[in-house]
Amino acid sequence: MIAKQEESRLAARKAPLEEFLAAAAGAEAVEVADARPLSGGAIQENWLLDLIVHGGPSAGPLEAVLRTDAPSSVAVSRSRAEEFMLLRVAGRAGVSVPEPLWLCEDPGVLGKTFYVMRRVAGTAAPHRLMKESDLGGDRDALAGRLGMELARIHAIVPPCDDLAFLGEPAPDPARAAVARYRRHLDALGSSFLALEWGLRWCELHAPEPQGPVLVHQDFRTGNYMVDRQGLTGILDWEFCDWGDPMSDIGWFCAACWRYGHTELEAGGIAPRGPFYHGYERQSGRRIEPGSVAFWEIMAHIRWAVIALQQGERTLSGGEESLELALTGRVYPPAVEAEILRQTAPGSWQARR
Amino acid sequence: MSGGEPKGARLLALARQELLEAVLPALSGDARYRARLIANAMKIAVQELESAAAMTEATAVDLAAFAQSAEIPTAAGGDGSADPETALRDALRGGSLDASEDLHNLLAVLNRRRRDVLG
Repeated sequence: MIAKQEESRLAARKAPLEEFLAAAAGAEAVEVADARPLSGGAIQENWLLDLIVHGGPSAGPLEAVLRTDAPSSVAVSRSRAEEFMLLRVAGRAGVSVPEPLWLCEDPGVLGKTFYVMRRVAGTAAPHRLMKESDLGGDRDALAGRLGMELARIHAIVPPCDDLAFLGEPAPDPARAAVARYRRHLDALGSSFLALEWGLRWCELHAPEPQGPVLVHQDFRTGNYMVDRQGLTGILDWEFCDWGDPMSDIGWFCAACWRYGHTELEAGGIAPRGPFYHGYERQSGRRIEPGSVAFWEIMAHIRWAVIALQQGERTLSGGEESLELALTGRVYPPAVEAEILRQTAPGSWQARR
Repeated sequence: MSGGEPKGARLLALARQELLEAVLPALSGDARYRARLIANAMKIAVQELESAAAMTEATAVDLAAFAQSAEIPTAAGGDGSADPETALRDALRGGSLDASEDLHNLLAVLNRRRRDVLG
């Protein structure tokens, strides 16, 4: 029902959208032959567009994705205009991304900012990756390629004029994260003692910071596209920031993102070896296991905080989403169990 | 005999069973996924209706007892301090419970209780 309403909303804007696309593409005309909403994405709204471009440099059929804000967006997420620029910078750095085509900040077209990117083939669905062993090609090779892609993202370093909106990097991203998650928990208005336990452990055991580099902050299985041959694109750039490169390695390998394949520690698709190897070879940076272990604990805390915030959106946020409500209810206890397991009293040693 | 008027938890449990047995098999794709979400929410709600009160009570007792044994002042002491949970949070942040075996054990017990409700 929601999708139907949305569909008619986009249909009502078809003429101004086609007009914008024609001007942006330098074409005589652009026809939106088909527009279908893509499910998924708690924050963004994505549409598959089948375009026919008449004249100009992109003449011919064009399969694209239009991305804009969902009705309720999250403040911590980058704006669509910033995301468009991140895609552009990442693409220039050699990262496999859907090619960003046109950004529209004129509210007269769709009522909100959106951008259009070239569609990449394949799927990002974790349940399909877990079930279909031939999807993504050879899995060790896929993990190696993902390591290489991540190293290319981490080769983007400040200062970078195009990414000035990211602001100044935090001098110690780990301790900044501890303070940030404590603030988020306080804002939720309840006490989460297992998470507090984990945060205190993180405060005491933070490794020497590395970087700063561009960190993706949601680089995990579910956020990259694959077809039968291998990787086709890295998605979801909305949480990028300057940070510690090991935080992305920890997020990718964290147990909470292995989708039941716990023994395949690199995102549930492969052992760590090929992923680390691909990363180290491309970056020239050594991955220190202790540092990754730290960031995996932080990853679990971060995911628990995000899940609670999603649940909160259905409480004080007034959002009517069973999916978000279940996220807030189901994931935190499981994630907390993992945090408690990884931060048992015997592991409280290092002091800095 | 139980009075003949089934309570909410029983209604919800039966509704879930009907959803899974009579409705779900006829669904596919996104509708099937959504029906599974609904069934999961119903399962949690049933278990919470049956055990939440006892769980909340047990957790409050455990937290207050721990705070007392760790000599952390709480509202229970009547001196205007925070409730046990907030007092323990502050003590954790302040470092007075670093590497506490007893607290780690308690947190594991509380976590297990919450996960049991999820089934």
